[in-house]
Amino acid sequence: MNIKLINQYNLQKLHQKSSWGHRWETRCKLIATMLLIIGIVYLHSLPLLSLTFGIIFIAALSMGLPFIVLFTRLVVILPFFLLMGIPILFGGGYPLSVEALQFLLTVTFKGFSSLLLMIIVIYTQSPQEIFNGMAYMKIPSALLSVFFLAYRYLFLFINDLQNTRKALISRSYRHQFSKENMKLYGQLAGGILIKSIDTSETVYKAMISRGFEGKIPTSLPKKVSSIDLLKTILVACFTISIILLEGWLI
Amino acid sequence: MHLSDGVISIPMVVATTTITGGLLFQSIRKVKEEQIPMISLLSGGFFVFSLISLPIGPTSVHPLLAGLLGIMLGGKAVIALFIGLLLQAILFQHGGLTTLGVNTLLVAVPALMANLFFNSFKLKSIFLKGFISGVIGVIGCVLLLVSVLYFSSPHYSNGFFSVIHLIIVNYLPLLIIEGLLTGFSVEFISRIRPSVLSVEV
Repeated sequence: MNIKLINQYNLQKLHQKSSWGHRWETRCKLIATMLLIIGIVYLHSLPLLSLTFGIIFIAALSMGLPFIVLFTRLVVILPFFLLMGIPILFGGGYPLSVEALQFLLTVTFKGFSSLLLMIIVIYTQSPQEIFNGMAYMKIPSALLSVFFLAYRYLFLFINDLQNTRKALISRSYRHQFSKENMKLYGQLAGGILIKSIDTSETVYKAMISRGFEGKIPTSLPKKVSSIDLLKTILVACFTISIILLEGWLI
Repeated sequence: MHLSDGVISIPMVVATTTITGGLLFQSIRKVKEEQIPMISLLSGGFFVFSLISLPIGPTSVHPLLAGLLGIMLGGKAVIALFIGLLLQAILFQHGGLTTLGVNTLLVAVPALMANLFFNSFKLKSIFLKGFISGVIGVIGCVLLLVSVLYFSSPHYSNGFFSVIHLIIVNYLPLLIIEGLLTGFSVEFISRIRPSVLSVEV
């Protein structure tokens, strides 16, 4: 996993754009995304899956997301599908089964399509907007608070880890399997976790002093306009259409 | 575990999401206000540590940390895992949204098993207790993953070099690494802050 990928294309710049995807209200967009992902997972027809993938890709481009960003994010995930694909294709020996190839392509298109949808969600609004939207979707407040705090402190821990890594390298650390290295990693994990607990105690005190009562306060989400509803309904109709079309094709 | 959307069958998605939903509901019900920051920060801490690649010969693996998470958070591990995996799915696109339930379940159940072992069995060596808990975590994850794939599609178990066989072979080195890592980690924590290790399910 490469943490640089999150900041590589200056997420903030992408969030500030003003396309139809960026203007789409968060809750409506999240519901539409979830609906479409469920619809995609339900599909088995390769032509329909590839058509859906193409439509989502064009939609992402029309939202002003750069082609290189989309392409890079998809390429990063490609090795996972290759690792799974090789045994599916060659596990049964020669000749290669057409059915296995079709299954692999189906799974790959499903994975890539849902991946694109998740990219659209995080690149067309800020994490704060996602959090605000989720806060008004009847999600338990404890779960939302954990999500919000974990996201906030994630980057601090990543900085700590990168500093530790630099310190290790400057002390002639060699990246290889040995009992000493495992001990080092074990103690590093223990250190990170104890630091997490210590920080959490300070955070809790700070939150209590600001009136925390089990729920992190959020600003009101954007009002749902008729255009937002129309976009969501269109996605829902598209999802139902591809499912019905598949029934008709098969 | 990072199963992408579409990798497992719809009935499996429904079944695992329902079970995870139940486990999550139970865990959330028991969460006290003061535990929220601790669960959040441990969730972030585990997330970050799982980014580290551990060397094995020419390649490397990422730790699962199911055992360690179970030991430290008990039943609350389900929440931490769910949030950690949700963040990994939306920030890195590792995993998926429809597979969030199954991915959580694959690590949460072994984490709870590791916690039960750690708190039920009395062994003199804290390192050994941690080591076995780490191993239980990996074995549990692999067994569940293999079962989920086996019941999702025959393509995953087809032939000698099938996906399932390769998963079992690939996870063998992680068994030792995770055991050592959990053992050393638990030994270290027990010296610095032993109270952290007394969480029960």
